Amino acid sequence: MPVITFNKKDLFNLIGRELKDEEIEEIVNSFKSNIEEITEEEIKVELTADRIDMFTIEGFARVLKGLIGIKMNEVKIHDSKITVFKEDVPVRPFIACAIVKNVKMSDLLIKSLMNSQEILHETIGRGRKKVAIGLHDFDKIKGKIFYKGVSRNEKFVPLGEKEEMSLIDVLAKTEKGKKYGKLIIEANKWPAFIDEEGIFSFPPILNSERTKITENTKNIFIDVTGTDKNLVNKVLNILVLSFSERGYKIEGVKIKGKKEEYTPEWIEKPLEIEKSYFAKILGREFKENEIENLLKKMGYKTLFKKDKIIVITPPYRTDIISKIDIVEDLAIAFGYNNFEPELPNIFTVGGIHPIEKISDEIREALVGFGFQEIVRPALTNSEKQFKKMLLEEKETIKIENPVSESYTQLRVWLLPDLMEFLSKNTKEPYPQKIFEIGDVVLPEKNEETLSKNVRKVALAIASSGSFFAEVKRIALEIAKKLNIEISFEDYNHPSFINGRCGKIIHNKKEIGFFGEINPEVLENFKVYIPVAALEMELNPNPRE
Amino acid sequence: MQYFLTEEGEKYLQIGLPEKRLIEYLEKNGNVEIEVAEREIEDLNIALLWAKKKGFVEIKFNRIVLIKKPENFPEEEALKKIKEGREKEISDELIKILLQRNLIEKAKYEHLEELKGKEIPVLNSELIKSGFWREVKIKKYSIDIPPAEIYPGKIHPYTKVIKEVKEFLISLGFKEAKGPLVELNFWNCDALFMPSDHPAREIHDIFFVSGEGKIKEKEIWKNVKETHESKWGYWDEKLAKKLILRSHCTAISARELSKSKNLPIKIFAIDKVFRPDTIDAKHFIEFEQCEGIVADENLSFKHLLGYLKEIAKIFGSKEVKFKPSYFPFTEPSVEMYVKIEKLGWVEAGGAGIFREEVTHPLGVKVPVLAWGLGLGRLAMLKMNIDDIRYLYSDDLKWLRER
Repeated sequence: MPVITFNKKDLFNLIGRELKDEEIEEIVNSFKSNIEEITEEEIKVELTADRIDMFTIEGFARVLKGLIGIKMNEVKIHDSKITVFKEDVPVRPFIACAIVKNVKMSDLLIKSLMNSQEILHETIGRGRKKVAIGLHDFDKIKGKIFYKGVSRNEKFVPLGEKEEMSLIDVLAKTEKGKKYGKLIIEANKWPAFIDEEGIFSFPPILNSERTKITENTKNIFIDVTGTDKNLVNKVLNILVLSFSERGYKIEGVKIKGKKEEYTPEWIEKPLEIEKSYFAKILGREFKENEIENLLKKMGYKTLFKKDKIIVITPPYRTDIISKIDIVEDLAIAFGYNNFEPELPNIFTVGGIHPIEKISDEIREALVGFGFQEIVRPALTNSEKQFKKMLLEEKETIKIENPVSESYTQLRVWLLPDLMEFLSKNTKEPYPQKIFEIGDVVLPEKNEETLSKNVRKVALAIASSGSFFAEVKRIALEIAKKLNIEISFEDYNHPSFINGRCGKIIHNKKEIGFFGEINPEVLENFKVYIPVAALEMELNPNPRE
Repeated sequence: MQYFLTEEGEKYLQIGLPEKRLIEYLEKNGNVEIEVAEREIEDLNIALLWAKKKGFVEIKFNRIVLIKKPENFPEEEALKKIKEGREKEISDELIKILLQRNLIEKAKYEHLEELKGKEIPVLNSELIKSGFWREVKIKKYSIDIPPAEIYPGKIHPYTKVIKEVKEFLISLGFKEAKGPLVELNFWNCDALFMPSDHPAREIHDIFFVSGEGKIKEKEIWKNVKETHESKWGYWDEKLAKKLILRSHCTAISARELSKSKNLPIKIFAIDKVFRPDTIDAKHFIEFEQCEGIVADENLSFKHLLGYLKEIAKIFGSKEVKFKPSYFPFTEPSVEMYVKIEKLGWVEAGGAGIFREEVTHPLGVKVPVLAWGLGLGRLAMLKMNIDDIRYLYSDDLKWLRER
């Protein structure tokens, strides 16, 4: 969830009045967002990923206005009579443009615009892939405007540079080029906005130095480009809303490609909802005027038609997928804490999963034998699982993107973790008797996830003397709890002393082993006391 | 010379000599067949041996016949006297019989003589049996010396918290479900209506493992594909097949919904999930989550809040506050806060009603309430720790002292 910092003064300006810190906190907390911090000058808010219209300070202010009950401005789109001639650019096929007139530029506004752009790029824009925004000084653009695919050898002076550079050099040499070049590099033709004087925008990489926004800029040309038509239009609407909230005049632009379009596509979409739907979802009846007022707070207009309500959704809301989203907004406006919670009268029989039930029984039995339970992570590494235990490396489930060398794969057995535990506690008094019950994950080609969970128990006794017999005795006790017959067989397991290891057999299948740990393993873990250990499956007869 | 009762002697003193029990039985029930008596009388062989020897009974045609009822049983009285330390009142002849019957033993305590009047460090069973403890001084212990540690076996404190939560949920009628740790992206994300390019699906938030999984539920696969294509405009099938480490237990809820067709459904899961993160006092890359779903006709948002209010009790909180939230798979979505003494309002979990875009492709046509608890936080509160690493502690001293 993005955390965004807004300037308080600017925010109050946009809302139209000042708010006390407690007031802001109360309003913001009644919404999806969370206040992270309020200082003298700024508020830091955590916003949810669905409400990208709130990522700009103007959009955020508009929501606050609604919640306080201040009337929201209407957005009007005027005609600019400007046309952008659009050619086919397969790598970035969709564009939407608009012009903002009579802007009073200030450092604060420039900073806030940059913040808005940045956050929209990284969130909904998916790192500029789906959507990228360019803002330009409209008065520096000369003549007809084209959007077309150009050769990588075309040149322009990119933002922040003094010399002309070819587009390929922009990708190779500039910071933004290196970061976002991958989005277009494989295409034949690269996207560019061009006027009489050449390229003034190279989406999604860089704008031009020539048309950059300065404190003297009066009129702004917005270009939004991307790979998702709907989002390109929605993001332009969010920007349009931002400028409109500041009282600037918005002008639309004709996009002339194979078809003729007009952007911004400021269309208030009607959504038809049965009146009873609100009560059905929320469990509370709402009167018509209640619905009307609550939805108004959230920026919707409503029309009532017999048993239906027509809800007009604002053009900048990217998150409205279906009518349920409107219901949530109504519930938010009503206040979640104003509902009366109620437990439904439905009868079901609860119960613990069989594997957890048997695990609990074994836990209790082992505690009775004086063992301390330990809980260790399921993630481990090959060194611990195999090498230190003197085993050949076996197939395991490995992570493709590990964050630490210690945790690169899922464990296939528990005993190495018990050994590691003992090695961390050599200063603690002996005897040490420990056990763990947990899942291991084994590769299994026939399963849909190419693997299966196996619930296991492992235990270890670190103490002077031989505890071979005791561990064997406990194996029998576990088998009794599992209600299975087991038998023992000699086992040559490298982790154990040769001749002091047994295989535990059930239904002719190996379900575990026990014995005294090989002194070489003890050396590997720096445990200088004999250890007897056991490991055994707890679901030898899995129930389907 | 001192005597004490053997185990057998002790037993007969309690339940009566076998021959006495036999004769009492015959008196009450008349003569009986040996087979019957065998069932009724413990140690019948011994009883018969002594009763015949003393001329109380005879065996006629496989039946035990009472011929003479004795006045008393001197052996039993003797046993009582020995027990009370009054063996001097018993005749030598009787002592001999008791020895012969292995009901008493001679105590050989000559070696104890040298302890007489001395201070002994430890009391033992010989001293008690012989009564010789009266002749020695038992050494005084200094009460201020700290005792050596005793380490009993214990269940891990985290396991206890989990068990407590489970028992609570079971009492509310929830049934436990399980799912695989290695999961198909499909069940973890796509079936939950998370678009293919959702930021939470990137390598920063999900552990990927090699290989593609297999989809058994072809129908559901088709439904999910159609939903994504119509609502998001695209779907990355290859990504959906990718195997990952389960990143939330909602994957289990999705699987469960796809298979359970009988309403009402009330299921919970407490299980491990994995997420790439920095490893420090507040974060680890695997942790337990607790999730639950309730599906039935006519469920609504107020019922969801009703369950949350009930579940808040696990945190020991009577008060609960709700706050709007956002999850890709629920609408409306809510966050629950509980009031914890000393800490104030603490975020306790998230919840919501599954979107139809989630339930319909799974073949579920009724509302599904879903909630998840911050189990790690709950455990840390209950265990009174502020470092998450203690949940998987490798510190034996800490565990022993808990």
